[in-house]
Amino acid sequence: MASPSPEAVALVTGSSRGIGKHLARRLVETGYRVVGCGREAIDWTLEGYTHIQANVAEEAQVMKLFRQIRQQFGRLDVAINNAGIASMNLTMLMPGATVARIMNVNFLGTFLVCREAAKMMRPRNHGRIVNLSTVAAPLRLKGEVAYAASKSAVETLTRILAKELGTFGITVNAVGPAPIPTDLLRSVPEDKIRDIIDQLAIKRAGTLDDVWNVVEFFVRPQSGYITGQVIYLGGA
Amino acid sequence: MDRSEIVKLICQTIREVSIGQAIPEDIDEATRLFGGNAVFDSLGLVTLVTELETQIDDRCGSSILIASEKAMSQQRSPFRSVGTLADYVMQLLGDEADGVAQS
Repeated sequence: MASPSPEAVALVTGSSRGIGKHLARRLVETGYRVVGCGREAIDWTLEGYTHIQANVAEEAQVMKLFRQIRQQFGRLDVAINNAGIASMNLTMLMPGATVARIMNVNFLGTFLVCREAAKMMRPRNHGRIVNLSTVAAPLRLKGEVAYAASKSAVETLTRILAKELGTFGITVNAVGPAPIPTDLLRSVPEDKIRDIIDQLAIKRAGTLDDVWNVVEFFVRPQSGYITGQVIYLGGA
Repeated sequence: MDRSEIVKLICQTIREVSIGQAIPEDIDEATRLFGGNAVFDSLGLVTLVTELETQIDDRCGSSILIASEKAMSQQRSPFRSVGTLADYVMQLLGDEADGVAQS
């Protein structure tokens, strides 16, 4: 990938661990100054990476996060909406509070970060937003109604926002990972993961670099004509 | 910021976001922002509002959302003119200060 400008700044939400941490590391290696955020402090450091504690589901915290980015870096080139939570349960056993929590983090959090990112990207007429979806949405997996529905909402947001922001030179795309061994999947039984993989065209679990490959494609300078797209890993 | 400073900031922001576009030379409280004979189309108004939010945040440390449900549901839009927008921003800053004082 062509190196970004040395001043270029990327934000990765939910960067404390798993996919977000990996994407933050790859973006630093690519040459971005990376800001990551998560609800808690982190126990690792990386040159070129700044961590800010923020809960994306809280509007005031998101606005404070962007104020910090604006004051410290003065610009934003890339925003990766990775922060997400999941809870597997059949609908008849799912408390409403759990559904609200999932929608707040996965959908509302993505919405708020997209909105504030677009405001920061607009003056330079350039920006790349990448949202994280999941293969659980197109596969319509039983027991994942709240998680999959929240990500379907993220996909619709992605497609509509692409139209709203195209005029400002900002692209908005999404990547839907297949199961990847991360903390999010820790509580999911192995046979359930095998069931999901069996529904994919390519019968293996995903890797962190499979996700980075798509993200890297979306954020590269040559991808300015690609927007409103959702790419699923593994052939879902 | 007092009201006159807000009016000044709105006028300055209009000039900044309208560079290269035909806008009236004299921009003041009576300048219409949206609707017939107005300075902006809907896209221009979005640009003005987001830039104004950023400027106010940078200057006052107040994260106000100008384009809120409250603004959209008002019978008389606060986006009619520079003056009505200034009034509305003052109201939002007052509400935020009250909220901070109560928390």
